[in-house]
Amino acid sequence: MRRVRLIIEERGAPAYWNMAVDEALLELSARGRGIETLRLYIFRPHAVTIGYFQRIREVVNLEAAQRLGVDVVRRFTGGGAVYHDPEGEVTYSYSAPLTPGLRDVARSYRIICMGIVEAARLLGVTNVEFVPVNDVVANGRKFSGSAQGRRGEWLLQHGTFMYATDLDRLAELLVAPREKLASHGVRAVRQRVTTISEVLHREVTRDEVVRALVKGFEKALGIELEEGELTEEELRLAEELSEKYRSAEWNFRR
Amino acid sequence: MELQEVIGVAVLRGRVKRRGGKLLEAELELDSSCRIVRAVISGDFFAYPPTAVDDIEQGLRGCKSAVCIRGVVHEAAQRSTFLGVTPSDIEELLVSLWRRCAGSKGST
Repeated sequence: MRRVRLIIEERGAPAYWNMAVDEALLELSARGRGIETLRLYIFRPHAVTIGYFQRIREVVNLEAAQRLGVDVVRRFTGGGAVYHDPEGEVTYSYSAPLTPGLRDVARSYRIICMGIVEAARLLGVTNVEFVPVNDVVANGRKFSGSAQGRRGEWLLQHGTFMYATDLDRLAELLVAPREKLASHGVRAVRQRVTTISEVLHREVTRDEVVRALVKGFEKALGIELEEGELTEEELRLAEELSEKYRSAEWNFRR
Repeated sequence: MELQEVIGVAVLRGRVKRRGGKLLEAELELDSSCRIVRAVISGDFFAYPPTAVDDIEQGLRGCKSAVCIRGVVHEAAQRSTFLGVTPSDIEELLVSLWRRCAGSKGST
């Protein structure tokens, strides 16, 4: 069984740092110095990340974000806006070489998202499935969304796992156009999302989620995770990249 | 395809969302001869590499025909992969918007 580095960062870090680390992992991989890695991390303070192609003013309630002290950072990956609640969400990132099985983009989303599906099953969720393009839903409601970046012969996919996210706050911060809601048969963001705690009618803890994610990804990807740390080179590049994620030029570019 | 438009002085905006797909939005700023001055393509879709979208936006500058718009999108699409939207979605949205301008000036 293939051994893969596992990095768990439960203390939490600001959004600009978390995005810089993920981009550093992918960038170094593209330069031929990649280490296959599953990283589990928390955003602290709470934050909204938006997709590379999104217009910040159209998808985030910036007034609410400022009032609530929520960081807003643009990702280097596409996809939609996401609320990261330090007390209710764990983010994963998985970086790996583009093996034949992962080369097709749509297929690779499904394969990697099965780690989320398996984790939810381990926690006791029975009605859970991957819904293309990039969602995982329980009882028909989304609790996980993912986004993937590719450089050279590597990919990095990151995504959420909402186990106790404050969904009212999420609904206050994220702005969804009515076309998007209508296509999901709902009228408000709150109707489309859920948490694992809500699904299971019990308080699910972060420790449980982290354990489930580790086992879920091991099972889905056929790997054995071994705890490790970021290298000096990864930290150095993340430090450089973090300047971009702190800049208005990047975050307000669209 | 649902198309929404807000027609300003010379700015056209449109938005499409296919069932099972992602949201695609476009904004075109046009001069008095319907030449594209600025283009912004946005949404929650995925593109590999993402710079393909930047290339389309830049390539559209100066376009003043549907053929030009289609050519720019087609060229970028040949060296990229889109997920959640198709190059045709992008092409159709941009051409629809541009035609609103061209149609209003009696030339298509």
